Amino acid sequence: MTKISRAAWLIAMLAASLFATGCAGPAPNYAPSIDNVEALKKSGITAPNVGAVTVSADLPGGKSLSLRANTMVSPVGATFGDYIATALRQELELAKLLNSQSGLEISGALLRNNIDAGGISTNEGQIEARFVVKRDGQVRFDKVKRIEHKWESSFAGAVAIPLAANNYPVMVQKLIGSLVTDPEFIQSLRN
Amino acid sequence: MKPLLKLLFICLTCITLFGCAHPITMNPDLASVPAKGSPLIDKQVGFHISDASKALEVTTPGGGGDKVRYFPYRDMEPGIYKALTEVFRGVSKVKDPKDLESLRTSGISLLIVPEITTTSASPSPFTWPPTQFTVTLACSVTDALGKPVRSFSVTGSGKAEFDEFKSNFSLAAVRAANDALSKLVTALGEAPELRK
Repeated sequence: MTKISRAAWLIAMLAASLFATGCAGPAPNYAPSIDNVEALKKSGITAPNVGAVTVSADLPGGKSLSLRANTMVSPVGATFGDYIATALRQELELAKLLNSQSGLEISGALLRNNIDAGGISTNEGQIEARFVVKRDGQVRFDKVKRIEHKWESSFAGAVAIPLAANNYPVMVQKLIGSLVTDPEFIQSLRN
Repeated sequence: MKPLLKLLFICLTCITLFGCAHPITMNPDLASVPAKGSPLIDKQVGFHISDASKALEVTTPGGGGDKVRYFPYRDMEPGIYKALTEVFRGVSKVKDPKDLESLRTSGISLLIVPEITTTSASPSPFTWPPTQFTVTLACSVTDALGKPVRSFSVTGSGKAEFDEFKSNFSLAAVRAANDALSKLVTALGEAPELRK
């Protein structure tokens, strides 16, 4: 190997490690959106229960999300469906509108869960989920909600990877926001 | 070509080793915000955090010469809301604290405006996550006419060692946020002026 090609190889290795390295582990705690909470409080809904948000075994990103060379998992339960269900419970609980004994139940299924953390200037993520509201087993609402979220990022993995992780709760806030501002969803939870 | 490669190599080494501002979060664990243990104060309160404050990103020291950056108001807002709901009967977010007419029609009798300051540090020369973190919540409380009722300040602190934070680099910040919110619940509950 010539001196120049050796130097180029070293630079390539250093750049690769700079790009790929960062943190691994659980996603950050969910931070409820107070705007969502206020929307729920003003909606006049009957307090529902929140059931499961299911994840099919073969859904990419259902159990773990790849952030460059790292992996992020849900800090609650076993899947990101559990993260979304917990997030919805937290927002309803803050609005004092969660009733675990209610015959009115919100459940769902995670259909897409993705973060593209490989960009060097911007990154983005998408979540798609079906939400169902049932009263005593009868379906009152059944709709798919989808959100996209973009953020400025960095070439350096030590910055880009935690930024991607930190934006996951924001993505979930947007998903729940799209649900609680849907008039049909609100109507389905009224008497 | 050779000087250019050398320069690139030095630049990449410097970027790798020094001066990064690593993003962390302070998102508190809401389950750790304790109930006050006594009956709720029968008042409707409002709290105000401006959009500018929520967009404020601050940078404080980490370890190894690196820094950490985070959004104190954005991350603490749900925790402050939760703390207030543990003390008062009703809590609302107020968009414009100067709109006294809106406060009156909403039935808000007290308005709380928090100010958050933070510190972080780490003695480690090799790892960047902070091992020590403090969060100071200074709150001014006014009545519905804008007259000062009370102001107080609480400081929460959080520590995390390498074995603990290796899977959660924000751990010291989260612990400090939890501690500050717990103290906020106590301080609000013990202030007789807020019960009048």
